[in-house]
Amino acid sequence: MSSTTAATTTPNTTTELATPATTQTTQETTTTQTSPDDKIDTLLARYLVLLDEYTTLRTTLNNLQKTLFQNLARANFQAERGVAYYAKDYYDERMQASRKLNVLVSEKDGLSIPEFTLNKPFQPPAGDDKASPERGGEIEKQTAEGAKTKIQDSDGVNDTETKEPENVTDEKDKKTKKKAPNTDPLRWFGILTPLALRQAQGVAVTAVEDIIPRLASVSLEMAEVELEVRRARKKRAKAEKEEEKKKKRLQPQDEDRQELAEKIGGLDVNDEDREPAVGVGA
Amino acid sequence: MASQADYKDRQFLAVIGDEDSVTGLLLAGIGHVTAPPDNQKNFLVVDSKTDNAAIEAAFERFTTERKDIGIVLINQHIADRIRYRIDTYTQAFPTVLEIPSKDHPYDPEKDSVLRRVRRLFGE
Repeated sequence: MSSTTAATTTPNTTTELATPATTQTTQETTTTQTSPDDKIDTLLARYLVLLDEYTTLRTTLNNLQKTLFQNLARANFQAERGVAYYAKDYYDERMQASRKLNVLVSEKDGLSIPEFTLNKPFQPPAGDDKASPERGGEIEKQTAEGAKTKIQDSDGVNDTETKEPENVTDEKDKKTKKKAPNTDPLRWFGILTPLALRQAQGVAVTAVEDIIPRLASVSLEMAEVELEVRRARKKRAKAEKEEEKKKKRLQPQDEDRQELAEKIGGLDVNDEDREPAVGVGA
Repeated sequence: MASQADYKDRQFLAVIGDEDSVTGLLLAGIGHVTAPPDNQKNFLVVDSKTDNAAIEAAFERFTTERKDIGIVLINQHIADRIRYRIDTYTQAFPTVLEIPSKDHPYDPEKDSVLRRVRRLFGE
């Protein structure tokens, strides 16, 4: 029995010995992670990654802008002088944005980072004359409601009777419903716009949908990381100041001790000097 | 950090730029004119006759007065004309981005974001 108990106890002891070692290592890792220098380093590494993305986005935006301006210049060159010039004179004064922003704030490594995305407009399939769902739907509802009221005014005899004509009129309405106004900005400049202008629009759409929202998000994230770096630097500076103060407090005590030690040493020397003299005298 | 009320309704992009830059961006479908009687546009076409006060007023309107704008795009050479205003602008919403124009290519030396980077690294 004793041998078995010994055998059972030994593994426990080994595990007991092993656990503090592992906790020590974890403590070490946590201390290294939370030290101000490392925090600043990780933040700066993240900042540099963002800076890289920012510069690449910038170069792509520059290239897109270049092609956009080239296409616009070509479109203006091809246009008959004085007849059509693709510029502010032909802007629609009642224009409505078809591409709208959407802002989401997400948590990233302890920082709340806003992110811009662009809501793409509804594009009906090719060859389909149906209007966009928002406006078309509204118009449809309005016309349907108008038709219902008309029917009720004309023959308000029975509900059962009115149901059938309603369905018929709905079908008629669907056939004769109004088209929603086309929100495509190309239409400001006429029906037959040159290819170059359409190409310019395509380039502008890529810039607005893919590059600009991401560029704005990266810029904001960079600003957030900058703030964090500055805070971490301030903390580190404070900690360093406190350490210096502690050292200064300790230093005078050390000097006093040294002086005392010197004095004591001097006394000892004197005593040693004295002792033989006393001995000689005796 | 910005509260939800700060960014919730910010759904438009605003542009301050030369005619080609504004036309290009409006072709993408970002142009918006509010309902009458305000009829506020979210863009400003700047030419040689536009004075700095008008540019600054537009910038002020897009950044502080209007609460429905999320990103303000401004041509870099126009931003140079109101540089003090751009550099002192620190709000998160709306975000100000400088874009190149036809006659003035992008200069990283003047970019406010890259200036911030240099400041951070102690240059």
